[in-house]
Amino acid sequence: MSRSRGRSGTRRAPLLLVVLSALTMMLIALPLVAQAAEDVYTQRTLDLARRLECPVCNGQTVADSHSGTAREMRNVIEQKVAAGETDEQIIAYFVERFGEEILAEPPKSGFTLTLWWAPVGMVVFGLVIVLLFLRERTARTAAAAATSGGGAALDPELERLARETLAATDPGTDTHAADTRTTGAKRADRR
Amino acid sequence: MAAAQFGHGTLLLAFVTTLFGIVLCVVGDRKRLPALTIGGVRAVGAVTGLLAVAAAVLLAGFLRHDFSLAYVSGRSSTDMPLRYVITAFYGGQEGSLLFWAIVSGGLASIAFLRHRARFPRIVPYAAAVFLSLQAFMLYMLCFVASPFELNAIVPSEGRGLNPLLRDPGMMIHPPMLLAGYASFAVPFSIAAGALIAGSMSRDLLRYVRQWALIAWAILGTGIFLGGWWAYHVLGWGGYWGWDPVENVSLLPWLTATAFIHSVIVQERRGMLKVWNVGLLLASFVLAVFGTFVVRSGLIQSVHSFALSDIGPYFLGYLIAVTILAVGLMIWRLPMLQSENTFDSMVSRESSFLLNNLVFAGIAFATFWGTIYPLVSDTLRGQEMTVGPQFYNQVNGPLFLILLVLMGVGPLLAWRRADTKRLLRVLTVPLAASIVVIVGMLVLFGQPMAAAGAAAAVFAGVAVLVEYWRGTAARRRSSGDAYPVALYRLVRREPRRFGGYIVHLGVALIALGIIGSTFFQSERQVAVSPGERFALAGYELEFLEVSDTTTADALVWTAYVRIWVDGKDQGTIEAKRFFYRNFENQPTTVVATETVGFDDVYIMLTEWDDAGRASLHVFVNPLVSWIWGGGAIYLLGMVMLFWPPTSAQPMAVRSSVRSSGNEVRA
Repeated sequence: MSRSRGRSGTRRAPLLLVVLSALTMMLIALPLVAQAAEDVYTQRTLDLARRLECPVCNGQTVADSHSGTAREMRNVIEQKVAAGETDEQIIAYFVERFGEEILAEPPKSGFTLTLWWAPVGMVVFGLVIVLLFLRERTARTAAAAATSGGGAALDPELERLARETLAATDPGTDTHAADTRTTGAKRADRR
Repeated sequence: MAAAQFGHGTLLLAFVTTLFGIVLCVVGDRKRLPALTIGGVRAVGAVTGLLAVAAAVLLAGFLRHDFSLAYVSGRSSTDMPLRYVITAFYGGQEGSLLFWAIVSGGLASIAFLRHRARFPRIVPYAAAVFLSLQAFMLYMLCFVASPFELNAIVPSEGRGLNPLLRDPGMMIHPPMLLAGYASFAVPFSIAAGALIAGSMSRDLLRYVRQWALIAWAILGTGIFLGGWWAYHVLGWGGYWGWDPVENVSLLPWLTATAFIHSVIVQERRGMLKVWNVGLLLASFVLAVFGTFVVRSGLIQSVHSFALSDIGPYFLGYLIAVTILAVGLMIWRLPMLQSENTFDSMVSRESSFLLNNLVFAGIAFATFWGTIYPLVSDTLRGQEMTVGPQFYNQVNGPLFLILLVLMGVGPLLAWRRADTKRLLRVLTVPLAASIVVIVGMLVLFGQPMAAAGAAAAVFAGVAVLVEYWRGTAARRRSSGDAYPVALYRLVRREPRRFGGYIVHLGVALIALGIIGSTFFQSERQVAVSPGERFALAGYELEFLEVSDTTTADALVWTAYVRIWVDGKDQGTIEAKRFFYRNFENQPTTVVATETVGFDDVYIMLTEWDDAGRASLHVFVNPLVSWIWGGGAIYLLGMVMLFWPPTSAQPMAVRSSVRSSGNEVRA
């Protein structure tokens, strides 16, 4: 068996035998009879295979996986495509056999809606929090900004560059003093 | 035999030292005995030294092929090349744990010994926190997953390394990723120490940021190398498959990226303290999650090389670390009061807030998708798969927003942005992105791809504009030639301009991802020698498939010649390796050739004795941009660590003068 299907060549000790039997296993499933460059699968088969998760290799679709199971599944899809079944029929065939976990993309219906909507909900929730936070904070400083706005009469770009340069060259600006003061106080009452 | 006992003894001694060090640190501070705390901090170094000795013993075991050690015989063999014998060190659970402990221990020793004199109250607590993390690792190494376990019967030959690990990429990718995870222990410990000691000064913040940056850089490099490895070895035509292992490595990277952005707001304006500490602590918790979640078998993955029964220990550890982090934050909430307020909705500060929101959103979606199979199984007993489509559809738009923010954010002024000025600096990037979006829509008609590419170009051009403006201003003020002005500009603010380079790298990576995601072509063909087939403008000629033997494997190689417009572009080789002892697990070396902007990517799937072969062929546009962008990204990261030239009043004056010129011009 292994001799007839494996590539005949120089004999290479037991290693080669083992390898050949392994190869045989791989080759049985796919008879390569035609003699021109031909597509093994149609594009539609590959598209469908991409929608299914390979059941024996975690994290790869049936289209990507090179396992025997995935290849057999691709062949089944190919046959069904040739037999004129619709995409939905073919997908349903696999869901019926393997369960919902065969689907690479979780359905956007029923329970799995929680998968799809939870991140959206979290981002919207976060956005609301950020906006509320910003509004509260800006409102609190609005009055103060209005009275002390005299300094901002300078060209804003000039002011920006000056401020950035100051901040970059002298890290110890206003907040620094406040920080060390609290630290110092804490340390003082500990010691 | 004796070596194993010596190694095991060293680990036991290290375990005892961690406990002793914790006591010294805590008692030393409580009883006001600085001498004790110094001893405690030094224990971190001592433990690392002991771990290094144990690692040396294990490594010697590998090099001597000492198969009395179960870890050595299970992962290596005498016929393996030396480089993979060394790789085998972290090819399993025990070695990975040891590696983790050494990396985090080494970094922590440097951090604590360097900063101890400067922060005499914080560092002992940081050391105590760190030593308790090490204590867990050492407990595992001593009693649960010992690398010095002996074989009852010494085999004459080892089993050899898992074939998937026998790849040059595997020599650096896993250790880099593990090192990235492990190094988050350092900023975590410093932050936790500061919370316990009750002081978070601006000075300390700079060190926390520095160590977070180091961890972020190592982890980022590890993730990047992982993509490279997946692309060249896994053979499915891509570099990122949203596999659980990839996802969990991305989680701490996302939160750390958010942190290194928002910590700038804290440094400049003393705001967002609670949020920043939260992000930092979360990054480490997620790093622990990432290290163990797959090893514990909790979530299935292609990467499950080192499955073991450490699940319960890991869960306990994860819960303990989380409780510690959350508890410390709640306890010290009063310490984390904001010192400033927001002046405007449109400012650099608020753009950072949005940036953080999006990063947190991506992190949540990724986490949610990763654990969702578990949620579904628990709540309704239905197993399920969350494939790449989910992440592409949910994270894709979020990354798009991030790219836009990346372009706008750096151009916004602190406190309050001037809309007119903003529009002026945005003119060029906006124009560029409009050209791209219109061009893409006309040429290809894919709206999502066009939007993504436009956003990436917008962000990239914004960086170039910032560089140009800065250089031009400097040149006008100092009269330097352009290259000199550019150098001085970067030299003065390496953090800012290094960060921009990272942004530029990200923009290029984004273009590469968009190109290879939306415009990939694929064919699976069966061919006989001499036959040609076409794909995406390339003509591929299958020459032959033949076999060779190496010391530890049988290798089958398919040779394919690439033709473009009748011109020979060279021959590429797609290989399959059948390693001894792992014959049913053949590994792949994909044939790739970059031709112009495209990658021709060929994987050998099947072949028969007539020499007819089955090939899985892809043409992946712009993948080379991802690697190029990654190199630029790395360059930018290195620049972030470049110490700035010492601040002189001169710099301030010249800069103000330059801006004055600019206003007049």
